[in-house]
Amino acid sequence: MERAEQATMNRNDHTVWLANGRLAGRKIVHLVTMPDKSVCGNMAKKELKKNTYIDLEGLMQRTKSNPALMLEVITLYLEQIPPLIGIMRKSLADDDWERLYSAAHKMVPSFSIMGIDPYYENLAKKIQEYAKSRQHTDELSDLVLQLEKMCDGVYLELTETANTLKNKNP
Amino acid sequence: MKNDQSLKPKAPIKLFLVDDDPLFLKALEIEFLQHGDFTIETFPTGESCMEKISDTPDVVILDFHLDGVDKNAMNGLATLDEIKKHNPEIPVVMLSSQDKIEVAVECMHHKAFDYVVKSETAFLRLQKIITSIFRFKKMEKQLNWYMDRI
Repeated sequence: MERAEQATMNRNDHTVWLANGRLAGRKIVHLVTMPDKSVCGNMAKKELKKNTYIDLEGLMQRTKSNPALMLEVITLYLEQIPPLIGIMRKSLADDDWERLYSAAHKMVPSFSIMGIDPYYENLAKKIQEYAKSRQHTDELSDLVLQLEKMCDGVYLELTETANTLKNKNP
Repeated sequence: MKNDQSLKPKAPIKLFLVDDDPLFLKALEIEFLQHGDFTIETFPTGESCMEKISDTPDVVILDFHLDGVDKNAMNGLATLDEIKKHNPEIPVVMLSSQDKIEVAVECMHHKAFDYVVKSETAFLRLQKIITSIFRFKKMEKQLNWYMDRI
Protein backbone atom coordinates (compact mmCIF):
# COMPACT_ATOMS: atom_id res chain seq x y z
CA MET A 1 0.00 0.00 0.00
CA GLU A 2 1.31 3.47 -0.83
CA ARG A 3 2.25 5.58 2.19
CA ALA A 4 0.01 8.41 1.01
CA GLU A 5 -2.92 6.05 1.07
CA GLN A 6 -2.06 4.97 4.61
CA ALA A 7 -2.62 8.47 5.85
CA THR A 8 -6.17 8.63 4.60
CA MET A 9 -7.24 5.05 5.24
CA ASN A 10 -10.41 4.26 7.09
CA ARG A 11 -9.96 4.24 10.86
CA ASN A 12 -11.93 0.98 11.09
CA ASP A 13 -8.96 -0.76 9.55
CA HIS A 14 -6.74 0.58 12.30
CA THR A 15 -6.44 -2.65 14.30
CA VAL A 16 -5.80 -4.85 11.28
CA TRP A 17 -3.29 -2.36 10.04
CA LEU A 18 -1.46 -2.31 13.36
CA ALA A 19 -1.28 -6.09 13.44
CA ASN A 20 0.24 -6.08 9.96
CA GLY A 21 2.62 -3.35 11.06
CA ARG A 22 3.82 -5.31 14.05
CA LEU A 23 4.44 -8.33 11.84
CA ALA A 24 6.45 -6.19 9.44
CA GLY A 25 8.33 -4.69 12.42
CA ARG A 26 9.39 -8.16 13.56
CA LYS A 27 10.63 -8.95 10.08
CA ILE A 28 12.61 -5.70 9.92
CA VAL A 29 14.41 -6.45 13.18
CA HIS A 30 15.16 -9.95 11.96
CA LEU A 31 16.61 -8.48 8.77
CA VAL A 32 18.62 -5.84 10.64
CA THR A 33 20.24 -8.47 12.79
CA MET A 34 21.05 -10.73 9.85
CA PRO A 35 24.80 -11.04 9.30
CA ASP A 36 24.78 -10.23 5.55
CA LYS A 37 24.07 -6.50 5.50
CA SER A 38 23.70 -6.12 1.73
CA VAL A 39 20.94 -8.75 1.68
CA CYS A 40 19.54 -7.20 4.84
CA GLY A 41 19.38 -3.76 3.26
CA ASN A 42 17.50 -4.83 0.13
CA MET A 43 15.06 -7.14 1.88
CA ALA A 44 14.44 -4.72 4.73
CA LYS A 45 13.59 -1.94 2.27
CA LYS A 46 10.85 -4.11 0.76
CA GLU A 47 9.48 -5.02 4.18
CA LEU A 48 9.52 -1.40 5.34
CA LYS A 49 7.19 -0.33 2.57
CA LYS A 50 4.40 -2.46 4.04
CA ASN A 51 1.56 -1.31 6.25
CA THR A 52 3.23 0.46 9.12
CA TYR A 53 3.19 3.95 10.51
CA ILE A 54 6.96 3.89 10.73
CA ASP A 55 9.64 3.47 8.11
CA LEU A 56 12.94 2.72 9.82
CA GLU A 57 14.99 2.83 6.62
CA GLY A 58 16.30 6.30 7.48
CA LEU A 59 17.16 5.26 11.02
CA MET A 60 18.95 2.18 9.71
CA GLN A 61 20.99 4.35 7.35
CA ARG A 62 21.70 6.87 10.07
CA THR A 63 22.87 4.22 12.54
CA LYS A 64 24.44 2.02 9.86
CA SER A 65 22.04 -0.67 11.10
CA ASN A 66 23.78 -0.76 14.47
CA PRO A 67 21.15 -2.43 16.71
CA ALA A 68 22.45 -0.78 19.90
CA LEU A 69 22.20 2.71 18.39
CA MET A 70 18.79 1.94 16.90
CA LEU A 71 17.60 0.76 20.28
CA GLU A 72 18.93 3.92 21.92
CA VAL A 73 17.03 6.18 19.51
CA ILE A 74 13.83 4.09 19.72
CA THR A 75 13.99 4.11 23.54
CA LEU A 76 14.29 7.91 23.51
CA TYR A 77 11.20 8.12 21.30
CA LEU A 78 9.25 5.80 23.60
CA GLU A 79 10.23 7.89 26.64
CA GLN A 80 9.66 11.27 25.03
CA ILE A 81 6.56 11.11 22.85
CA PRO A 82 3.82 9.57 25.07
CA PRO A 83 4.18 12.30 27.74
CA LEU A 84 3.90 14.92 24.97
CA ILE A 85 0.60 13.35 23.84
CA GLY A 86 -0.59 13.51 27.45
CA ILE A 87 0.37 17.18 27.61
CA MET A 88 -1.47 17.86 24.34
CA ARG A 89 -4.63 16.16 25.57
CA LYS A 90 -4.58 18.00 28.90
CA SER A 91 -3.67 21.39 27.47
CA LEU A 92 -6.48 21.07 24.91
CA ALA A 93 -8.95 20.32 27.71
CA ASP A 94 -7.61 23.29 29.73
CA ASP A 95 -7.35 25.66 26.73
CA ASP A 96 -3.68 26.03 27.64
CA TRP A 97 -2.63 27.22 24.18
CA GLU A 98 1.05 27.81 24.88
CA ARG A 99 1.53 24.32 26.27
CA LEU A 100 -0.42 22.80 23.38
CA TYR A 101 1.75 24.72 20.90
CA SER A 102 4.95 23.64 22.64
CA ALA A 103 3.95 19.97 22.82
CA ALA A 104 3.00 19.86 19.11
CA HIS A 105 6.17 21.79 18.24
CA LYS A 106 8.37 19.42 20.24
CA MET A 107 6.88 16.44 18.42
CA VAL A 108 7.69 17.62 14.88
CA PRO A 109 11.31 16.37 14.49
CA SER A 110 10.37 12.87 15.67
CA PHE A 111 8.28 12.23 12.54
CA SER A 112 11.15 12.28 10.09
CA ILE A 113 13.46 10.39 12.48
CA MET A 114 10.99 7.48 12.63
CA GLY A 115 10.00 7.77 8.96
CA ILE A 116 6.39 8.64 9.76
CA ASP A 117 4.29 9.91 6.87
CA PRO A 118 4.60 13.72 6.43
CA TYR A 119 0.79 13.84 6.68
CA TYR A 120 1.17 13.53 10.47
CA GLU A 121 3.89 16.16 10.62
CA ASN A 122 1.46 18.49 8.88
CA LEU A 123 -1.20 17.57 11.46
CA ALA A 124 1.16 18.65 14.24
CA LYS A 125 1.89 21.88 12.38
CA LYS A 126 -1.84 22.54 11.96
CA ILE A 127 -2.31 22.01 15.71
CA GLN A 128 0.41 24.62 16.28
CA GLU A 129 -1.44 27.05 14.03
CA TYR A 130 -4.73 26.50 15.90
CA ALA A 131 -2.97 26.87 19.24
CA LYS A 132 -1.43 30.13 18.06
CA SER A 133 -4.81 31.48 17.02
CA ARG A 134 -6.35 30.18 20.31
CA GLN A 135 -9.33 28.55 18.60
CA HIS A 136 -10.88 25.54 20.29
CA THR A 137 -12.71 24.00 17.33
CA ASP A 138 -13.99 20.50 16.58
CA GLU A 139 -11.34 20.24 13.91
CA LEU A 140 -8.59 20.90 16.46
CA SER A 141 -9.95 18.14 18.72
CA ASP A 142 -10.06 15.80 15.74
CA LEU A 143 -6.47 16.64 14.79
CA VAL A 144 -5.27 15.89 18.33
CA LEU A 145 -7.22 12.62 18.29
CA GLN A 146 -5.70 11.60 14.95
CA LEU A 147 -2.21 12.36 16.22
CA GLU A 148 -2.92 10.43 19.41
CA LYS A 149 -4.07 7.37 17.41
CA MET A 150 -0.99 7.56 15.24
CA CYS A 151 1.28 7.83 18.28
CA ASP A 152 -0.43 4.83 19.91
CA GLY A 153 0.23 2.83 16.76
CA VAL A 154 3.84 3.99 16.53
CA TYR A 155 4.32 3.19 20.22
CA LEU A 156 3.15 -0.41 19.70
CA GLU A 157 5.31 -0.88 16.62
CA LEU A 158 8.40 0.59 18.23
CA THR A 159 7.91 -1.28 21.51
CA GLU A 160 7.83 -4.51 19.58
CA THR A 161 10.89 -3.51 17.55
CA ALA A 162 12.74 -2.48 20.72
CA ASN A 163 11.91 -5.77 22.46
CA THR A 164 13.14 -7.77 19.50
CA LEU A 165 16.33 -5.71 19.32
CA LYS A 166 16.87 -6.28 23.05
CA ASN A 167 16.37 -10.02 22.67
CA LYS A 168 18.72 -10.20 19.73
CA ASN A 169 21.37 -8.08 21.50
CA PRO A 170 21.05 -8.77 25.23
CA MET B 1 52.48 30.77 3.72
CA LYS B 2 51.82 27.09 3.36
CA ASN B 3 49.08 26.51 0.82
CA ASP B 4 47.16 23.70 2.49
CA GLN B 5 44.21 22.68 0.30
CA SER B 6 42.50 20.68 3.01
CA LEU B 7 39.55 22.45 4.56
CA LYS B 8 39.54 20.21 7.58
CA PRO B 9 41.55 21.19 10.63
CA LYS B 10 44.00 18.57 11.88
CA ALA B 11 42.30 18.17 15.24
CA PRO B 12 38.74 16.87 15.38
CA ILE B 13 36.11 19.57 15.03
CA LYS B 14 34.75 20.43 18.45
CA LEU B 15 30.97 20.71 18.25
CA PHE B 16 28.49 21.80 20.88
CA LEU B 17 24.93 20.60 20.22
CA VAL B 18 22.26 22.35 22.29
CA ASP B 19 18.65 21.13 22.21
CA ASP B 20 16.02 20.23 24.80
CA ASP B 21 14.71 17.51 22.45
CA PRO B 22 16.78 14.43 23.45
CA LEU B 23 15.58 12.41 20.45
CA PHE B 24 16.68 14.97 17.87
CA LEU B 25 19.90 15.58 19.81
CA LYS B 26 20.78 11.88 19.76
CA ALA B 27 19.91 11.53 16.05
CA LEU B 28 22.13 14.50 15.21
CA GLU B 29 24.97 13.25 17.40
CA ILE B 30 24.86 9.85 15.67
CA GLU B 31 24.96 11.49 12.23
CA PHE B 32 27.98 13.61 13.10
CA LEU B 33 29.87 10.78 14.72
CA GLN B 34 29.20 8.49 11.74
CA HIS B 35 30.24 11.04 9.12
CA GLY B 36 33.33 12.84 10.25
CA ASP B 37 36.01 13.64 12.73
CA PHE B 38 34.09 15.41 15.47
CA THR B 39 34.22 15.63 19.20
CA ILE B 40 30.71 16.34 20.39
CA GLU B 41 29.30 17.68 23.60
CA THR B 42 25.53 17.77 23.97
CA PHE B 43 23.56 20.09 26.24
CA PRO B 44 19.84 20.06 27.03
CA THR B 45 19.76 23.75 27.98
CA GLY B 46 21.37 27.05 27.07
CA GLU B 47 22.49 27.42 30.68
CA SER B 48 24.43 24.13 30.65
CA CYS B 49 26.05 25.12 27.35
CA MET B 50 27.17 28.46 28.81
CA GLU B 51 28.82 26.66 31.73
CA LYS B 52 31.17 24.96 29.25
CA ILE B 53 31.53 27.74 26.68
CA SER B 54 35.05 28.57 27.92
CA ASP B 55 36.10 25.26 26.30
CA THR B 56 35.76 27.23 23.03
CA PRO B 57 33.91 24.95 20.60
CA ASP B 58 34.65 25.30 16.87
CA VAL B 59 30.90 25.48 16.15
CA VAL B 60 27.76 25.62 18.27
CA ILE B 61 24.51 24.19 16.90
CA LEU B 62 21.72 25.72 18.90
CA ASP B 63 17.97 25.12 19.04
CA PHE B 64 15.80 28.23 18.70
CA HIS B 65 12.93 26.99 20.88
CA LEU B 66 14.83 26.01 24.05
CA ASP B 67 12.13 27.22 26.43
CA GLY B 68 9.35 25.02 25.03
CA VAL B 69 9.06 22.67 27.98
CA ASP B 70 10.59 24.77 30.75
CA LYS B 71 9.22 28.30 30.43
CA ASN B 72 11.92 29.64 32.75
CA ALA B 73 14.74 28.22 30.64
CA MET B 74 16.96 30.54 28.61
CA ASN B 75 15.66 30.58 25.03
CA GLY B 76 17.75 30.06 21.91
CA LEU B 77 18.24 33.72 21.04
CA ALA B 78 19.24 34.62 24.62
CA THR B 79 21.76 31.77 24.55
CA LEU B 80 23.05 33.00 21.20
CA ASP B 81 23.51 36.50 22.65
CA GLU B 82 25.37 35.10 25.66
CA ILE B 83 27.70 33.06 23.44
CA LYS B 84 28.43 36.12 21.29
CA LYS B 85 29.01 38.22 24.40
CA HIS B 86 31.50 35.64 25.66
CA ASN B 87 33.28 35.20 22.32
CA PRO B 88 31.95 36.76 19.09
CA GLU B 89 34.25 34.49 17.03
CA ILE B 90 32.39 31.28 17.89
CA PRO B 91 30.12 30.46 14.92
CA VAL B 92 26.58 29.55 15.96
CA VAL B 93 24.14 27.76 13.67
CA MET B 94 20.51 28.01 14.73
CA LEU B 95 18.07 25.11 14.41
CA SER B 96 14.31 25.31 14.43
CA SER B 97 11.26 23.26 13.53
CA GLN B 98 9.70 26.49 12.23
CA ASP B 99 10.32 27.14 8.56
CA LYS B 100 9.60 30.84 8.88
CA ILE B 101 11.41 33.78 7.35
CA GLU B 102 10.92 35.98 10.43
CA VAL B 103 12.63 33.37 12.63
CA ALA B 104 15.54 33.15 10.20
CA VAL B 105 15.87 36.95 10.00
CA GLU B 106 15.75 37.26 13.78
CA CYS B 107 18.57 34.70 14.10
CA MET B 108 20.68 36.60 11.56
CA HIS B 109 20.11 39.86 13.43
CA HIS B 110 21.49 38.18 16.52
CA LYS B 111 24.63 37.25 14.53
CA ALA B 112 23.95 33.58 13.93
CA PHE B 113 26.12 32.14 11.15
CA ASP B 114 23.14 30.38 9.58
CA TYR B 115 19.69 28.97 10.23
CA VAL B 116 18.58 25.40 9.52
CA VAL B 117 15.09 23.91 9.64
CA LYS B 118 14.81 20.58 11.47
CA SER B 119 13.98 18.14 8.69
CA GLU B 120 15.32 15.04 7.02
CA THR B 121 17.94 17.14 5.25
CA ALA B 122 19.02 19.10 8.33
CA PHE B 123 22.18 17.08 8.81
CA LEU B 124 23.31 17.55 5.20
CA ARG B 125 22.71 21.29 5.50
CA LEU B 126 24.70 21.40 8.73
CA GLN B 127 27.58 19.49 7.15
CA LYS B 128 27.71 22.01 4.29
CA ILE B 129 27.52 24.94 6.69
CA ILE B 130 30.37 23.58 8.84
CA THR B 131 32.49 23.16 5.70
CA SER B 132 31.67 26.77 4.78
CA ILE B 133 32.64 27.96 8.25
CA PHE B 134 36.07 26.40 7.96
CA ARG B 135 36.52 27.64 4.39
CA PHE B 136 35.59 31.13 5.53
CA LYS B 137 37.95 30.97 8.50
CA LYS B 138 40.81 29.81 6.27
CA MET B 139 40.20 32.63 3.78
CA GLU B 140 40.05 35.14 6.60
CA LYS B 141 43.37 33.85 7.95
CA GLN B 142 44.99 34.04 4.50
CA LEU B 143 43.64 37.54 3.95
CA ASN B 144 45.05 38.70 7.28
CA TRP B 145 48.38 37.13 6.39
CA TYR B 146 48.55 39.06 3.10
CA MET B 147 47.25 42.29 4.67
CA ASP B 148 50.05 42.16 7.27
CA ARG B 149 52.59 42.09 4.44
CA ILE B 150 51.20 44.94 2.33
